[in-house]
Amino acid sequence: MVYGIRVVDRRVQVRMTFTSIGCPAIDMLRDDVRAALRPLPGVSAVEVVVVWSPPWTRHMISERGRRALEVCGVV
Amino acid sequence: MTAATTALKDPAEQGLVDRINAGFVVESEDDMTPGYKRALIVQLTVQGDTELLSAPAYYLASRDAPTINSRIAVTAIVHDELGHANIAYRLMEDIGVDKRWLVFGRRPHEFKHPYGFDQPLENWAEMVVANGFFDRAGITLLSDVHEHTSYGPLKRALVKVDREEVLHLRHGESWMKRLAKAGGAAREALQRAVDWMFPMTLEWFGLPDTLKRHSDQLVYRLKGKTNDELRQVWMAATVPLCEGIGIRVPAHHDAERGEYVIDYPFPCQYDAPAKRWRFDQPLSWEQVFERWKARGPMNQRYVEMLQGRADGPFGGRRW
Repeated sequence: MVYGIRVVDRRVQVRMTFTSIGCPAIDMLRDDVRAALRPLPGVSAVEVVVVWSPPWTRHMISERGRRALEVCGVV
Repeated sequence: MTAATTALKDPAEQGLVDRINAGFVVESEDDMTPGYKRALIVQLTVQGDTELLSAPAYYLASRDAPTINSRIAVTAIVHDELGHANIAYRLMEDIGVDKRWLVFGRRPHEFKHPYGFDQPLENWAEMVVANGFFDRAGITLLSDVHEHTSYGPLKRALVKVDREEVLHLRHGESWMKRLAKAGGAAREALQRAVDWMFPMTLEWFGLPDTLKRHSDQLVYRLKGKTNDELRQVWMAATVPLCEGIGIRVPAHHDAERGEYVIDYPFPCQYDAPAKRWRFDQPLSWEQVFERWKARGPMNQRYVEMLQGRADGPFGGRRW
């Protein structure tokens, strides 16, 4: 779901999408991304930019992601 | 744990308990004794009913969501809870209980969910504290079941339930922090919601260990921790959460005793119309059971939302 990361003058910009516009975890995932990056050395600010293009599809799920979903019974 | 070590009178029942204690995992109805099956059905009924009745409560509260994203989040939580109810009812269906009867065949007062889900959630603060407190209670109970249950199918089914409940919990806790940080009317509404729902959830865990003479669920290893132990686990999460955001709770950690202590006579009287706990009126547990038996103000309406009204377009589909 992360489409790209840019760093300019210690300001990190993350371009990401979500599995659907109706995803209930959008706010929480944005908080998670900020929380993961903000404490890193050399980072003064984090901006999460949500885009809806290109649209996410399930074919984008990584192998690791697939295994995590299988554990929960989502195949 | 006296309750777990008391021998059962029936040698067939005690035989199954001995096998379970030696590591046997129950996988099907054929493995069960009548006592085991009864205890499991009681547990699954409470579990399923609790998930099912959270749906109408959360649905009505979702109308108070402050943003489109948060409205969507609660709608997804409702969706999850209905799925969890189906998991518990489906497991009962596998051992001969009629799922349609479970949902449509019982009258409102016959559902076995906790008193907290007979109550109205009347603003956004109450909704997010429901996620932070009630879903925390749910996770406390269900993760204990997942860790200890002797019933294989339930252990496996709870993996997905646990993942989803964690998300509900995160939703509640992150919004509680946000409301506290916002200050002003938002913080006041949060404090009022906590004042109302902290004692409500403490009761959820049931009789204290000193009063609980026997526990079938512990004997058959359908759970692992006692009521008081579960209550402590719940407080170990919720008390620091609230203290950390400057919200008052009627409990604190006593370092000397090494446990959380409730700061009011527990249990106590509850004034339902005022949504207030009467700390000046202690109750016996028998009196609490009487209060629960009389049901709470939303029992009828929530069940009607699920079954349809008897005089409604679908005729209530009563059994």
